Amino acid sequence: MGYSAARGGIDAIEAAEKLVRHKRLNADCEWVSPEQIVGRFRLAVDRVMGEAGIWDEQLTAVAIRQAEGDLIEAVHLLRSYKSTLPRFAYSQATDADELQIIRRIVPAFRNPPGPQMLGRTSDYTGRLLELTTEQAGQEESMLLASLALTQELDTSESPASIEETQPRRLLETLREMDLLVDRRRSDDPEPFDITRTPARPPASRSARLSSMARAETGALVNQWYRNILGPDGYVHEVTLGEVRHGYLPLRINHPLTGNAISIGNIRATEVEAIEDLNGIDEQRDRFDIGYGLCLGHNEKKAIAMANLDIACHRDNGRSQLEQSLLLTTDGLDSSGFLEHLKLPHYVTFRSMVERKLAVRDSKNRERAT
Amino acid sequence: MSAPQIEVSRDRRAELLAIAEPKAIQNLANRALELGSISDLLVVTKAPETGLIMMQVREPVCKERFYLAEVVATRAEVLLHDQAGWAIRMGTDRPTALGAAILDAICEVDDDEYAELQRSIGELCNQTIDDEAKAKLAEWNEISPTIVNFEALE
Repeated sequence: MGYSAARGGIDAIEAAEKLVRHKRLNADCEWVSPEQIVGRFRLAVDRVMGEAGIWDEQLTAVAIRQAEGDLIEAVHLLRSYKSTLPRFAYSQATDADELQIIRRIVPAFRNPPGPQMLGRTSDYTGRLLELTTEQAGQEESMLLASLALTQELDTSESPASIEETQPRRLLETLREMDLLVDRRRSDDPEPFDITRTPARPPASRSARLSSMARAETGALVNQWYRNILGPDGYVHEVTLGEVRHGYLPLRINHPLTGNAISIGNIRATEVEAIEDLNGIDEQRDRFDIGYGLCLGHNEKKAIAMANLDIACHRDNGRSQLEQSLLLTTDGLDSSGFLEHLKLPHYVTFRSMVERKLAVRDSKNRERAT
Repeated sequence: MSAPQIEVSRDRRAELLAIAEPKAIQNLANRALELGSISDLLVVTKAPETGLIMMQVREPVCKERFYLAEVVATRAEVLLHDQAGWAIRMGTDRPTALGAAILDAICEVDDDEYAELQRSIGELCNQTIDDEAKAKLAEWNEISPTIVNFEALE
């Protein structure tokens, strides 16, 4: 493998770049504002934020627009931008128990502690492509806007209780039933920072969690699917304990008072995957839990992450799973390598052709003698 | 006459100015800048700067910390009558971050000239508390009808 740079072509390159810019900025349709992208394509925005490892909806919308909807290119733009910014601080550690839910599902248990709340989902209904006219769509939009969603409902004047917005976890119930392997650590190791040092196997769990939180969604889902049904042959029971979407507070120290203050919330998706332990060296009378947490509302990614977290733990370096997770699921890495193949490789290929011709010459000489 | 007491602590004020309406902050900051004396006494010690905060989370299974992602934020720092004012807000809004730092400094200065502004800043803080509570309640009223009790088939 090799790549040799080419010279020249500056005029054509500039013309091509100008064409992209011209067509993007002068498309024959209405201008799209970042607010529209955040409002109408929230899941794409959330996905890109997660894969770029950066929380800022407005900037992400700008990146998606500039990338003409190519989400991996938007990730590229954001990561590049991020590299120009100073790091102000590491936040205080936010306990995941503080997540204020706006959606919570417990597939494993009918009566978990706290409510199960479907939130904003169409998981339980059939989805068909809405082929209504633009006019009908806009009329429906205006009608809905005129009717506040809550007008049709019994509204409460009192705020939700903490049991409702921050319900206890199913894993706590399982712990109380003594059905869970206890992996709680008494030490408090510093997390691995994948933005400063690439994570390589054998990696700490914090490095794996950070890597998966930033991984490309499709790559992670594929890795999970391969792990469950594919050639890795790791078919096992998959049960989700918790699927949550909600708000997590961001806290930093006030530089003048020294106290921790909350400066706002981010949204995140959190998943706990219950693992049925069945190995010879495992506690077969107990379960274990895998954990997934990623920015925004991205349940596919968090589910895959939780299952791969526990799969990695159980695998304990026996297979190439951890290596595969750490080295192949970053969207910018993989697509960057893939995209570079489009650049001129004239010298590389010429040398390959010359090798083929040399082999042929050699064979011809052998035949001749 | 001493400066009116602002009901929120400095830490709480920083939290509220971090999420308060940008226009309200900028309006109050502009009002402050119209005061005659302030232009001589206000020093921007750290111009608004956008950067990143690495968010740490402690997960529930092993109680381990890990880095989730970085959050974009903008901070600013000023000095007014030798009192430091500081603010940070998520996002890239530099004018609002600077405005919030000015408001923070004003609240720290013990000078009658700022009494009315201090009252207004206190009101903004209280308004922000109200707005946040109302937004939470409105969201809860939207999502609570989706609370579900699935039945298990025996």
